[in-house]
Amino acid sequence: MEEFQAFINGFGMIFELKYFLLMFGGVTFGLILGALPGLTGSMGIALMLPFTYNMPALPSLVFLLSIYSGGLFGGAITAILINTPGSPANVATVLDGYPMNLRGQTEEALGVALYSSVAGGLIGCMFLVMVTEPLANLSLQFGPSEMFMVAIFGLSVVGSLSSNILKSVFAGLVGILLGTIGMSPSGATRGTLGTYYLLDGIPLIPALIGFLAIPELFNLSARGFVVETADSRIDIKRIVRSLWMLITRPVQVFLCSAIGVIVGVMPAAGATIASLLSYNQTKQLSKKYAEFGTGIPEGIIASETSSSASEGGALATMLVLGIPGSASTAMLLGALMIQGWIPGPRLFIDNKEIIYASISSLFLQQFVMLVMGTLLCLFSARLIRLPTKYLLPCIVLFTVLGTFSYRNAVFDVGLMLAFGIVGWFLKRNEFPIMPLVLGIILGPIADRELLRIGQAYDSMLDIFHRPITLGLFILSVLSILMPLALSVLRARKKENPG
Amino acid sequence: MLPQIAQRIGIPFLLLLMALAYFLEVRGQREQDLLLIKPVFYLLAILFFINAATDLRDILRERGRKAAKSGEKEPLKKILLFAALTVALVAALPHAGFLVSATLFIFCALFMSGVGNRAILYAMPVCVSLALYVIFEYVFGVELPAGFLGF
Repeated sequence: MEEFQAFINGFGMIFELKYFLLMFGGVTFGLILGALPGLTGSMGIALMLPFTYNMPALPSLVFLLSIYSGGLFGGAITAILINTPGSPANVATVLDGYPMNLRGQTEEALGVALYSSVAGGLIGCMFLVMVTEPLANLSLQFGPSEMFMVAIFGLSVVGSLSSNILKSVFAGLVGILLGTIGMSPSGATRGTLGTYYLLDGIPLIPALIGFLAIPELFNLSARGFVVETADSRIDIKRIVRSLWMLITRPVQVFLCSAIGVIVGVMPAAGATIASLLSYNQTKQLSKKYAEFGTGIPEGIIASETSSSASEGGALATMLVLGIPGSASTAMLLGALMIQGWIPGPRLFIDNKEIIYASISSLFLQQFVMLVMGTLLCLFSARLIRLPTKYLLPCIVLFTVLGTFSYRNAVFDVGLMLAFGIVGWFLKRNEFPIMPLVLGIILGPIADRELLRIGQAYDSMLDIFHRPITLGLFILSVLSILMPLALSVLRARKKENPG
Repeated sequence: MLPQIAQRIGIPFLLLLMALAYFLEVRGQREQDLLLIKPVFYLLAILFFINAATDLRDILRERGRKAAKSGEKEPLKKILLFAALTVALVAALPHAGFLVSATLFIFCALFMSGVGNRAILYAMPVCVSLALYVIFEYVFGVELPAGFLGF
């Protein structure tokens, strides 16, 4: 238990006032940025990176990891309040978080999301301590065929995202096609409409905000309040009481966290796929299957524990192998390179003490997030009770600014609005949007890895000789067939209750 | 029956048309660039027909019965007005700049919502726009669109 000893020793290194100040500052900054539509924790890391030039390695890591942790939960706040995931990892939180908010259970939804995020972060941290190297080595087993199947596995949940499975799959396929727009890995331009702004494909932030937030904001313009039934008094007890919802579901919390950690090691899509898979599996196996998507805490727990726990997996890959799996971890690696560290397998071996100390700080950051997150939840719950005539213009401006900040391009704002108008039209005619958004997120990954498979293998069938690929394929097929089979079984049970 | 058909089959049809236009544009490219696009498009087309047949069957079944009431829809006029205002904001951004566009946007939104209090009507647009401008321009370092006034 050398690793565990190093983890405990790490606490000794960070139990100083300056580290606590860095954690509070970083988590608060990450929370605020994550909670603003269009802005993300990754942007926070990018903004603060220059400030870490003159910092030693450990304070720099502690500060940036704090922003990362805060940003992960911050995105859940907009997901719950205005139907806009702050990052792709919060997409599944929208499904039950926003309906709970509309029902007047804003504090409960925010509380469940906060405690789920903290629980997932703590469990992810423990996994990170105990199985860092096996987790990281697992990511080395993932080649193009495995990554392609991971994307397919993630996409296989589209069938369960709405009551009409066929329409959901149809929407998902449209999303995948949209996701292939841009310059292909081999250099061909597809569907760019002659503009270089689309060469990198459809930018994610305008798509997320456009399809999810803008239709909702348009609809809210016809209402006096976001939550019509809410009492104007904010009750912190409702936030605190929602902890009980987690305590009474320990198996779900642990299993979803485990899914998050394992899927989190996969580069590029770990947190997003983790939260979606976790949501889907929880839904399939739950007695309250039919209630998912209507606003139940189980949906938020599944999504948030998993996306927070995936942090542990992603960090394992980054720290042990020097392979960043996302923009955030790439910037964290950049921060280490500023310190003169060399990315690669020796990073972990040569700097074990500091890395375990930063993992210890990750553990403490969850408790900091508990405090700052509660305050932000209270503030947000108060804010959402303002009349829409004051709230909506400000939120729209935030979405415009957040979208613009992504690439400093007015084109992105126009794209967001175009998607918003299309999304509103689809929503008004009861066409599922979430599968379409999922297709846009995961389509590019599937496209890129399929090209690599084409280059690496003579025949597509050769990929099924790889056990992980075969396993993921079987899981994907089951993921598609299981909702159909379960719905038939449930329908039969309803007809013949005896 | 026709509105139901338009709603349930029309929208997937429009999306299929969009997918077809995209497919026709890219089909001349190399095979390796169409590895995912081709099977997805074919699947989409097949699914459209299955979906359309299923929906048509359901519509014909429901024709005899009283149609189920779908969820109450938000009043259209207010939504369209707000949407038009948002379009105007985005259109004005590169020309009038963020500060002017945002101030006018908030003012018009408050006016359309019937806010009578002059202090709020005039002060809120200026204060909010200015605050956002300062935060994004000077704190986050994002260079916001500048219009003909230079800011």
